[in-house]
Amino acid sequence: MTYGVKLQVWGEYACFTRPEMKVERASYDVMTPSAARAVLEAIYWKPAIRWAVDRIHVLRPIRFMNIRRNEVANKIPLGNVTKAMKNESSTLALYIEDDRQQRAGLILKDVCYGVEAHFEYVGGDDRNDGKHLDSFNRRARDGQCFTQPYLGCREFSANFKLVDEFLQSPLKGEQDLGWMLHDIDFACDMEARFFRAKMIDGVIEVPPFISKGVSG
Amino acid sequence: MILQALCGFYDRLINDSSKQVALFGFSTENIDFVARLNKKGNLLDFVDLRELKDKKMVRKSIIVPKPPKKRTSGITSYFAWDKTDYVLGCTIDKDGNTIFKLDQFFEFKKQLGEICGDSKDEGIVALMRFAETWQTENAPMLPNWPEIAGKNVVFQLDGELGYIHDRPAAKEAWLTFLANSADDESKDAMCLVSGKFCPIANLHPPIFGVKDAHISGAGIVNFNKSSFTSYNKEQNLNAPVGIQPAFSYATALNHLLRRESKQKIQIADATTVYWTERDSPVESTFGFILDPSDTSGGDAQMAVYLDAIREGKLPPDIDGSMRFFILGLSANGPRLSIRFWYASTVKDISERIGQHFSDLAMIRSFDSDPEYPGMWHLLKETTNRKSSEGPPPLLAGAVVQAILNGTPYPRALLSAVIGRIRADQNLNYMRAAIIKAVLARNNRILGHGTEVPMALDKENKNIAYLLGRLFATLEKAQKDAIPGANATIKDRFYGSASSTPRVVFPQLLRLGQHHIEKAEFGWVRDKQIEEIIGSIREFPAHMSLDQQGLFAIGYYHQRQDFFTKKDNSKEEGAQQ
Repeated sequence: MTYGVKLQVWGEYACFTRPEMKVERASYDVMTPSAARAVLEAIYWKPAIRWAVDRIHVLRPIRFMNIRRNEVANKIPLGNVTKAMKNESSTLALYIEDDRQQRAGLILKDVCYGVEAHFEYVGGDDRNDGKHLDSFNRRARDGQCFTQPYLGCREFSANFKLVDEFLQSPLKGEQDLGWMLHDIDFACDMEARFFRAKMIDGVIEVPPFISKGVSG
Repeated sequence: MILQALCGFYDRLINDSSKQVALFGFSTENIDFVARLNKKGNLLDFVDLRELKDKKMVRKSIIVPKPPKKRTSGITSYFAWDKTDYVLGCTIDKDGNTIFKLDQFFEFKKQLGEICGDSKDEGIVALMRFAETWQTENAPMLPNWPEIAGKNVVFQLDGELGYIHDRPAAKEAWLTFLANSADDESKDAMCLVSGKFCPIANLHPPIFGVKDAHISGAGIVNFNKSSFTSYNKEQNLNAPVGIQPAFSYATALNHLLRRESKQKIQIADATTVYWTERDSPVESTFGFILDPSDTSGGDAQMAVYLDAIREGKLPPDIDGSMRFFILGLSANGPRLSIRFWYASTVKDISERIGQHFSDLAMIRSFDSDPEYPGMWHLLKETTNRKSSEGPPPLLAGAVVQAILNGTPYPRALLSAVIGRIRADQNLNYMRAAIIKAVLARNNRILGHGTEVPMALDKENKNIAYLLGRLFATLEKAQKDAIPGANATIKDRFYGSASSTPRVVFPQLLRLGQHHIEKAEFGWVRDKQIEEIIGSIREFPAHMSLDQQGLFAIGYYHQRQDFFTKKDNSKEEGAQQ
């Protein structure tokens, strides 16, 4: 609908967690559209716009590694929080020593992706192509971001760079990646939406969120 | 991808009549006894279904009706089979005292009535009559009651071969009941396996057979703590999978993990299963390849295959383009984590494995040394033989990943093996092979390092290799001079010689001179030392890990050479 942007994103580690293996994390082979959207939003976002990812280029070979981490098992119940808010003297804490769970992870190593995306307007306000595009480009060029962009999980920070053209991907041939998470439908009970991902010579075409290509 | 591939495998299994796989609504369970009834519903006797295998009583695997949901708490009976708590209303506790479970028996009766209350089928009628007339007090009076109590029981009509639950009328009644009692509380959403909008399974069927997992089953998709859930979604709604696909993948995985499965092996702590898209002989041979100590593969055929792939060729009768899947699972209590997942073709896998064995090729010290070492042989060399702990689990997974991806072996492997050599001064064939494999692979893939020879290479001028050879020669000189010494220079000096040669070698050479004087054919050693030193300009102050590896290989090659030459020199000695 409006102008597109091209952003190169890379990092040492990445974990685009599969929903079905969310506990003992296993990553998808490539970046999910929702993760790409998160990177773009971290750089520039306003309530008037919504980022839509068009294409994802995989610019480095896909490599996995295994890690194990100690994490917290439970969430603090809402009741405890409200009690602490009302009653200043009660302490609100969660001690990992009592509440440890070891979770393994099959994560990606040394990743680099090229994200092609454009933004769309959510409502009637602030429809100003030039302004939004310029802001994004300026911020991306200067390395500005609201929060540190990350690759799937927050602990895997991402580096980004605005580019005109992407390098050739080292991957060749067609690969069917199965049903991949497209994004979460926040408007509709946080349901997950999936699409059939096919990688051709390292490029994945991402269908628009509301379309026949995305079921749910 | 993983769940989808498993569902694809399930579809292949149900179409293959030679495999025993349960359809939706059924499950393969371990059954101990069958209770035989006559047509009037009287209990005749119990027949033991268990068999003695490998000195253990193994229960029989039978396909029985079972709803896809796991039985967790509360009293729910299975249809036409269950443990004696339900079927007879009686069991024994751990002290051996009989306890009656009247509620459970009532549930069993009720279930029967609900499912097939008005059936006219002989077997079902007999079963229902049994349920009506059975008095739970009679249970302890059964012959060999202590053995039967608490175990799984199926039913059989006297004179018939099949079980009552297998009768067509029973199956039909069960499936109708299942369809009607489909959970109203199950929500509809998009299934991530099939892509269809369908009822989502709240809990998936449990997976059995992974080492060190919970006995009552574990799950890949398992959200058993609140911190794992998102957006307030409960349990498996966090990862929407349809009820049918959930059953399919779980049944397929359980089939691969069953006790007598030829498609699973253990790699350190990861239980690994593998399968091909269609039937192929490679499916059963893959386990042997990764673990050749398992001799069930048929040695001659295996040897042919292994020789072929080491050369980089594929035997003609194997279809290379077929897809091949490998899944490594490791247990973390009630959850399973994916240690690795590899989806490729048979040709690809064969190439990678062939490359691995080609990298490992090394001159052997004894004829009993395996030419194609399995994973276990390799990983054993990284641990202290006296310690009962296995190799670090992440290392095993990393090595398998390296083999399958064709990437360099993990650095940890090299440092672990070199560390062990320095600790126990034992440099055997396996360790030398591992070091050579790591270095050769690095050389080939990353392009740096040197060519690593398979057997003694006198032309090789690499300083670390020469020093290893020199060390072996000096050790031999000492052995010739003082046969039967308790501590050779290897025990005292190996560590420092391989890491800081400049400090140690001058002293060793001086010692060597004394040994040469003392030994009968010391002048032979002297000449060899001269030959080696001729190519050394100076002793390096210290050597890197890679160089220490080359040192070890040089030492091993030279030593092997002495052993084979020994016969010759003895002859020479005799002639002279």
